[in-house]
Amino acid sequence: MKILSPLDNSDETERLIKSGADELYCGFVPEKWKEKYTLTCSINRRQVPETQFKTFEDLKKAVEIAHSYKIPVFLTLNKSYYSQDQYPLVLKEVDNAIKIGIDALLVTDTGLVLTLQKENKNIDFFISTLAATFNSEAAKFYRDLGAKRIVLPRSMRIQEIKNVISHVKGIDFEVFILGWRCCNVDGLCTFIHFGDPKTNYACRLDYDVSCVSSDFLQPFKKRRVQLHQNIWHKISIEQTCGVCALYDLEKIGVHGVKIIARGAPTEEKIKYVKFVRNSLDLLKKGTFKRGRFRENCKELYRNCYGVFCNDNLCYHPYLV
Amino acid sequence: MLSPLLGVGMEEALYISDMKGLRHSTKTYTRLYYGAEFCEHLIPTVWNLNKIIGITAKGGMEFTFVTPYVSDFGLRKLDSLFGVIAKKRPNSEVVVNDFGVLRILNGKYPSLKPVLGRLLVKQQKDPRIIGLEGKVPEEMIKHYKGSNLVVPILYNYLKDLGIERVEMDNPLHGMDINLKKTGLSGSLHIPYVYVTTTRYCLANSCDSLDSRNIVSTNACGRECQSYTFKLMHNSMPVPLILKGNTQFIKNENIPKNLEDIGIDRLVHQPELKL
Repeated sequence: MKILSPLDNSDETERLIKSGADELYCGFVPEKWKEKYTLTCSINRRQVPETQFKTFEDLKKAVEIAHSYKIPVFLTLNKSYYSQDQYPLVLKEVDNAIKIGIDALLVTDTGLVLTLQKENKNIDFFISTLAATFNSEAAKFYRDLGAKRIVLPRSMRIQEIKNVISHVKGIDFEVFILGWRCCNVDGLCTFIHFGDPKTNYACRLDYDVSCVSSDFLQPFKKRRVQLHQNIWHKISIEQTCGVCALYDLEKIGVHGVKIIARGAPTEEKIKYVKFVRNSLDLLKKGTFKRGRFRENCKELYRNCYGVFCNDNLCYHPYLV
Repeated sequence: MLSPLLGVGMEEALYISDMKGLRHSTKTYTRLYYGAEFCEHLIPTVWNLNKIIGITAKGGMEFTFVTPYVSDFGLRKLDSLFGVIAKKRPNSEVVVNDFGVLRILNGKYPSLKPVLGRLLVKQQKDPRIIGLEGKVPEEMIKHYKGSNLVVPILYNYLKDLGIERVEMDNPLHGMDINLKKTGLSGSLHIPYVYVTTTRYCLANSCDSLDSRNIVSTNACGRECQSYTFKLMHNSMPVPLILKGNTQFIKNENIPKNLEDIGIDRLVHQPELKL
């Protein structure tokens, strides 16, 4: 299984590769785009400057470094949709990406997919999790449009992932393994992201929750329900993890696992990559049976984050 | 039936999720939308579907079946329901919110008419966008008022897939969309605007006595059928309404330029139910 790591600048490229990354993904927003649409309306759905390469020259340098290690680099162009006015800038970025040897694009918008096909752009494309591919027929839909890989939504259960992989041939599947569980289905969420995620992202706001129906509820039960909702919103957080599911994910044929940490400091990214790499190495050795492997992963999680993992931080809490 | 208020050619439909919703039916409505749009656990049973089909046929109403985004499990359930509809009301519409569902529909049930649902029609609906006007570049607001629907390569492809109608929401900040040039017809859902949805159901286990607050895709207890929540925050100009796994806002201001947008059907949902 491949480890797909985030990459934000050329300086960290070599270190991420040496820490165990097999593939790298990144973003770049052209100046013209920022002037016209601002970073809030980002070309790749990341709105924080640290999540983007600062210059295209630096991205080119990172690609050269990665390629010297035979590591591919993917560029995100995964906005949910592009307006017709935005296409010239998007296609210019595609052409520039091809020129510097970007290995594939991560895309969502079916209009962009069709355009890449129509214009015979000589570059592979992967379908982002934002396309919300929850079933095997949807996966076939994107495969038939020419996609080489699909990143599955993080709320999919192992059995659901297995169903899709076993029914759809000729395409790779990737899943999230670490970081940032958004409580909503990314691809079906129409909120905009802007400013500080902790204070501005709609999924993380500290709402005043009230139960407006169910008048039959006794006051104590109503309070419990409200409390539940408040807590729910507070656990759309960074430290989520699915590493102990690697055993199952490998068995069902997942091609690669993705770490979400664009914008994080290099040291943190390295820590995450090493955590997943160490876990995969454990799996590769085959020393442990499933249960022991999972326990070891939980220990590695604790070493990585300094806290115990728990069900609320887990992508697959139903696994036993 | 034509609405006297909304002008010639405006069709009015009633959107319900269960039998009880039929109490809202009046002669104004010439079409019934029925089904689950956001959750595969709520896909109707064959029995209920048959009953609704019977009622619409008897009442002379057109029928539109609404479907959610689904796993393979949900896909199988829908497949069997499509068989029922194709047999009993072969020219019915089916609202698809998942390209996998569309693939099944087009592959096996050519008599049914696919309609692109609100989850596949891309619109930004964050109610805070209304506060950005005048503070950010115009192009940005234009994008937020727009949609993927008006991109020629996409709408031509949709038409190739047999889609002639699209379902739209009425965001608080308005729309800058001209469907007429696309050859697609638009339906506008009122008054509830879907904003976001999740599979980590927000209502799941909300009334459980278990003190743990596990967020997961737990077994469904249909809590959404009993509870509605209001989420308030000072940054939001209007409350978010949380029903089951989905959040909505309420917008009762129907745009005056419906005809310019290309809307020829209003889909009324008098009661927010999933």
